[in-house]
Amino acid sequence: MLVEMAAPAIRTSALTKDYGAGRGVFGLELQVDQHQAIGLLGADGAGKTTTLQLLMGLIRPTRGSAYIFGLDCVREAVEVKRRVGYMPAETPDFGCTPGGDIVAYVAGLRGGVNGADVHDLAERLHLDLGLPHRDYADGDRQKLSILLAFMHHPDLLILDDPSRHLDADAGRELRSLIAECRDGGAAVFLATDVVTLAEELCDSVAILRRGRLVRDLDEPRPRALPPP
Amino acid sequence: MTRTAAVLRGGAWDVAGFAVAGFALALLEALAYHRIAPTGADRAAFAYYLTSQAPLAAVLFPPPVRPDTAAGYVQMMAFAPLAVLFASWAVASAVSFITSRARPRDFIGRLAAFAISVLIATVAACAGAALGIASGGEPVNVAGVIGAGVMLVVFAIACYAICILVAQLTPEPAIVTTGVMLALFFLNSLSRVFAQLSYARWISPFRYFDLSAPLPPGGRFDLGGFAMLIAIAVAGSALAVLRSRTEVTTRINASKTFESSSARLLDIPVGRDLYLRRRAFAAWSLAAVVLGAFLAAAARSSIQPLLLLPPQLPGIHQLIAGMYTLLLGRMWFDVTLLLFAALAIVFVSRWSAEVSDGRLATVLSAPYSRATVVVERVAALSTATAVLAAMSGLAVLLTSRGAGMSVDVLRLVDACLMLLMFATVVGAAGSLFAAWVPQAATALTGVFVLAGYLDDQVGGSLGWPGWLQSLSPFNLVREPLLVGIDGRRLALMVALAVVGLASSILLMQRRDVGLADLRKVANPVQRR
Repeated sequence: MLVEMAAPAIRTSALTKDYGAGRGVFGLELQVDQHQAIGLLGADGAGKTTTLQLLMGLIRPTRGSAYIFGLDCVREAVEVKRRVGYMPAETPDFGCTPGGDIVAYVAGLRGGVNGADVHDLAERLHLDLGLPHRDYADGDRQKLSILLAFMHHPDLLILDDPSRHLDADAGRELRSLIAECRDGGAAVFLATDVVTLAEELCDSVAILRRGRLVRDLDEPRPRALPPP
Repeated sequence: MTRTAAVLRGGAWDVAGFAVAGFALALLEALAYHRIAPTGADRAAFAYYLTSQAPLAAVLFPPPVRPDTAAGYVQMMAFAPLAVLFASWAVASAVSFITSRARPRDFIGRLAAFAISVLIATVAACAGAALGIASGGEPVNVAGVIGAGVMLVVFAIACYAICILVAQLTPEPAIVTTGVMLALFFLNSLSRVFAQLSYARWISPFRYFDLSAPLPPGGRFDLGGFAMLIAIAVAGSALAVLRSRTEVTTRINASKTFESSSARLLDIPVGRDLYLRRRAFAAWSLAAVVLGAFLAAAARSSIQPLLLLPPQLPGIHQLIAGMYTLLLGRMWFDVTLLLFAALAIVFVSRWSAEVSDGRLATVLSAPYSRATVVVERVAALSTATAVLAAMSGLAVLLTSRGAGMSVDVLRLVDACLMLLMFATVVGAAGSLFAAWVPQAATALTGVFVLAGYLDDQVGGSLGWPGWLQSLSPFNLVREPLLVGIDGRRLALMVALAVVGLASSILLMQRRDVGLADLRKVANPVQRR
């Protein structure tokens, strides 16, 4: 237990996913400590989503390894996901299923989700859970993804481009939610191409370019993204 | 044009699957005919047999036209089933369009892409028919082949137009569209048994397809039916376009709900899957009960001449009971078997879509193992099938008893068990395809079902090895109402299901989920 408590929230070692033709991520060495908020910046196609999918065990690394709270992201994927809230870059499409059913379905898979927390999050985000998913606008779909990632009070938030499609009010609420989680002791790993979002919320940022880290977490924070 | 090309690229697997199915079905049926009836005398005898058997298969096939020719046989055994296959394709394609986030104005591009896809598959089917007919030395009626192809294409487009229109009018497009097409199909096919339905069959496009049989020598191309199909296609498309332009795409509720669903079933494995499909499940249940009752009544109606014989004739009761059981097997069991094959393919298409629409990534972002996902999928299919088989069997039992016909209840239970095993085997194969190559899983499962059907139907005539025929799921469930369950066949079905499931788990553990480029391939016209 002591070992687990001391383990970093995220640690990768030579993590590589090679899609060929120079696409993917290569030799990634990252460490995010517990209670830390880290931004991963990069232009479209830099490898941010691939990195996050590797951490979530959705795709398998070509080489190297990734650990979350000391647990192997491939072999111990189920245990890893108990402690993680993940928000994907592409919102899923649930067709005619109402938002309330989707939330209850994912909560049923996860177990231990409090209905009052769901209500609180939906109210803060002004997300109507009575509508079918196909009737949601893009912003509402993004809000649903936020709700699914936050509803179980995870120890680590892995967020991929979370502010996309959100209006100003929802964007402010998202910032507030991330800050609350961070202040409550959770670690945050935030992939985005919005420098101001990372600046506002993160203790430090790393920059990916063509699948490789071009800026380490210890260097001063950048004011703008480097060219792709 | 670009949009049409993008849709065609996205549906390439479907086009390939239906083209292979059409070519194989037409070619193999023709080859089988030549093997069964190589001489003139054989053909005459076989034609007599087919004509005498036609009432038994009236629910599935129209009456044969020139069954003494390979062309007549292919018209009945290949082109009639292809019409059903293409109608299913129209349903799947239209529902996928309406439930996706594509813009309504993409409709014309989608329609054009579907028409081109159907044309490609039809050309393949016509090529298979021509090759097969010619292989036995029978002259090929080129105008007839073209006529049969034209009818198939126009019929499929008419079905697509109906489906698009219906799907737009309902919040449950998959259920309602499937229900409407099933109703139109059975309205036409049951009107061959129940004369009372003939007054209503003019609303069914299947009726207008049946009016033509252009392939055999001296066959007919019904211009009135052709014109009606064109009219349905044009009117349906025009109404669909009008409807799409007036549609409000985003609803706003007067009072917002912030509560998640409180349904307990969503906490239970398998139950949660069935709960999310509860409306579709209810519709399938209704269809199973209504069809069970209708088909039992059709079997009863078909033995009416026997019931008029004096009851004191020796052996008459056994003869009537035997004939009724035989007819129940041909009408209820065989039709329900095909319906359950369709149900399994519907489940597989959803598993396949879960990859491209991001639902699988959402499930795997929860603490849920990949093996559990695979097992739960197949378990949900088996549970749904078990319930539907039981309801259909009960409808058959009650209808039979109500009509004064005796049915062996144990044999009926055997038949329901074989229906369940059949769907589970097809589902396990579909699970394997969904884990291996999800974007092609629906097409591959369809090809698997068709291959099994052909293996059972024509494998013996074509001299295929016995071990291959014994692996067909259609062969493994043979005649449970007449002969009960064969333990060896049941064990083989269980083994096939277990192998399919285990292979699915292994493949699922190794595959990547959530690739952005896969999503783009699957939904090329998604709104950005």
